Amino acid sequence: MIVFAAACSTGAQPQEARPAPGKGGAATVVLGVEAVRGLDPAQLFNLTPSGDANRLSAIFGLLFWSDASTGEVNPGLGESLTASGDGKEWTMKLRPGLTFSDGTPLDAEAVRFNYERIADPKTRSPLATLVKGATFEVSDERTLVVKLREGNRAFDRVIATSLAFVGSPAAIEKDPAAFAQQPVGAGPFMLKEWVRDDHMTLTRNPSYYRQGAPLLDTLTFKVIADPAQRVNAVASGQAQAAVTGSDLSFIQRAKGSGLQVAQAPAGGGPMLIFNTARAPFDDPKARKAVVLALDTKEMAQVVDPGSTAPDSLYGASSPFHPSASAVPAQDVAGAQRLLDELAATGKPLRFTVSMPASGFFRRTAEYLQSRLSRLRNIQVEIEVLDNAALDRKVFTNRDFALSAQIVPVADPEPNLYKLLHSDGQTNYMGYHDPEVDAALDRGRDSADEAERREAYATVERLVMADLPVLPYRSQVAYTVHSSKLTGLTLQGDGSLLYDRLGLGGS
Amino acid sequence: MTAPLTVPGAAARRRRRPGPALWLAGSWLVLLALLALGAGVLPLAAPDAPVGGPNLPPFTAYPEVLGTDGIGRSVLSRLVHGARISLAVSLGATSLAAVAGGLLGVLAAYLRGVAESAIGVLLDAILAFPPLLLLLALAAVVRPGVWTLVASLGLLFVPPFARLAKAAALSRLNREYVDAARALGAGHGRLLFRELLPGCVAPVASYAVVMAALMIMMEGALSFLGVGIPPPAPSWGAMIAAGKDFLAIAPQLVLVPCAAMFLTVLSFNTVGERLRARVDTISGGAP
Repeated sequence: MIVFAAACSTGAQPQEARPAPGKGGAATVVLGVEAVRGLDPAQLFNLTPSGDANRLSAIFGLLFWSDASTGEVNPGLGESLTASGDGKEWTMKLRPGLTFSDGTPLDAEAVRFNYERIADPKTRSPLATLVKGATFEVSDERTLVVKLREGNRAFDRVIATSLAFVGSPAAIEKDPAAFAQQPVGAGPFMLKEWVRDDHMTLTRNPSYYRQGAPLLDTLTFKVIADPAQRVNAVASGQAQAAVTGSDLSFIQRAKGSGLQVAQAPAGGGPMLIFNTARAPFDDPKARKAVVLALDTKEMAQVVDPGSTAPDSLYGASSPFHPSASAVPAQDVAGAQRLLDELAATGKPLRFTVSMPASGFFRRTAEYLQSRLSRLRNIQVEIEVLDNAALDRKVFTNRDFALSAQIVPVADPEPNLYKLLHSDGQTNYMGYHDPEVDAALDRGRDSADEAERREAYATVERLVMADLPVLPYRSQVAYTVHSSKLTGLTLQGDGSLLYDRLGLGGS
Repeated sequence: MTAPLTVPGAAARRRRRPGPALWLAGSWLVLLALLALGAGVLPLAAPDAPVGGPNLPPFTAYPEVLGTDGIGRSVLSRLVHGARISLAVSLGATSLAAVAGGLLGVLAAYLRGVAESAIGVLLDAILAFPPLLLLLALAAVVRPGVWTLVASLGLLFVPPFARLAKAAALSRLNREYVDAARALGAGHGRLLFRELLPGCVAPVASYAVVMAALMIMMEGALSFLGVGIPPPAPSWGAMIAAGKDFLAIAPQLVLVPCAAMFLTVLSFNTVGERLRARVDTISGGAP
């Protein structure tokens, strides 16, 4: 018996340190930013993979989730989501017998409670506009009917990206202020310990709806600010996965260190955003001059070595991707002509590039400054801001001329709509074009694929002519991980589905 | 009144001829100063304009013998223009600290009493702040730039100079020549500026050279943390910070400015040590 056991353990040596999926184990995932405002589904603040999206996914699970590449909506805690013909009435069906980790039921009533809390002006939820004017009716224990004020055939994508997390009504009612610090959800993991700016320890939720899931016993989120150190943490075995953030150059670095990379190419990505609401970029000529002066291929290579430049707003695998490049080609002489014209009318182009301090964005700013300064009648200053200052200046007060933001576009809905529609949530450019609005509405409200294609081709044509934004590096959502960690599925903008993670790899 | 004790032979040892290390250090500093002063007229590419592809390795192209950085700008040009900024910050902040600290120290030594206590409390208060933290806090409030760096670094390093000057002034306060001046009816101004201050210049100046090296490192650290000189102006610290993202693919982007900073700091320290040895010999040996 002893001999047998010994022989067995020798034979299974490589397996021993890492239990097969379903046999527990602990994994650590490194993120870049602490959840400074806590984790409240009504107060989504930094829904990026290196911020809160991964934490929320682990604690709350997702009612529905969208594929990071295609935007296709898949069932999670919810079972089905169907629209009426005009997209005004949506019926959400939940899986049977769902409970939150505090034992209270996750039923249609609980979802209604969460959505009404978001709509309540007192909550001051940034998501309130998404459910403005909507009513919620519980038709039976597992069925919620959402009646929208205006038809939206893409509302399932809105739910999958922004309204996918629901918290326990009992816990929220008990102490709404404390809920963000002690979140209770129905996701695969429960919060056990949270040491701010260092780590967050979660344990397996035994009442999770899927039998045998999650596979891990313990999940730890660590915060490391420097992206290179995040990769190093995985390479040295301190962590099993790392979300490195926006720089694609870390993909090569991680592979060079013998790590695996789960990736999902999408559309959109980092974009230059021009403030179209004020001088100098309220003049399309000024925007065009800047864009024509740039060689986006070189720009992508320089600001993020190893990456490529996008040739469209839509990703290569998207059905909306055009056959020929939609991005204006570099034309330095044309740019100079526009700049000279601007100078001749007494408005020589002068502006400041406001950028976050991270390496990628700082290089973007320096690249713009160095390349544009080669032309005449243009003067470019750089301003590198820390996150708080940037948030205030660019995204709250809109006191900027040229900045950048990352907008991943899997399906054009909802992110492209939010970016370019006159009352879009991320339209920091103050961009307003009735034709673009109409085309975006057409694309959203149509069930017909051909009509959607036509609508989004129109959006791209108008945007690439008017240039409120310029995508300048192709988007790839990715997570670096050790070969031991398995089951990495990227959803949304690139966060993981935590009920599938296991330590079964080699 | 006895002359301070000196170890026989020590002074003679210190007074030996300058060795090769000192010559090398001096030459490097002179070369650097010439380059920094002449950055505008030297045939160099503009420090913020691209001259070629990104991350060109050193010694592969002429005239860009140090290659290009991640944006395609000349590393040589940025290094020379960076020297200008790094030296300006370092020498500016050191001068400010030396002058302000020297005056405060001599005043404290001469006035004694309440003034001495007040100055002491002020200096202790400055010393009590963790320097890097204070600089980071300052950078959050005022827009970073050469002048704000000079002012904040200068302010931070007033106390060591003040203490040095005070010690030097105290040791001279009871010398015969000061008593003689006082007996002849010299006023406060004359005693302070003609009798006490000149004696403090040598120790303060020799210490300043060593501090200049420290200032270069402080400027580097601040720029590395992103609160120093804002881009696109080149400073050595900012160059190292920008290069660290490419450490795996283009280590020269970090190594070149690091080498420049290393040589400069080493040179300042070598020269500073030598000067201090000389000053100690002078003040110790001659009554």
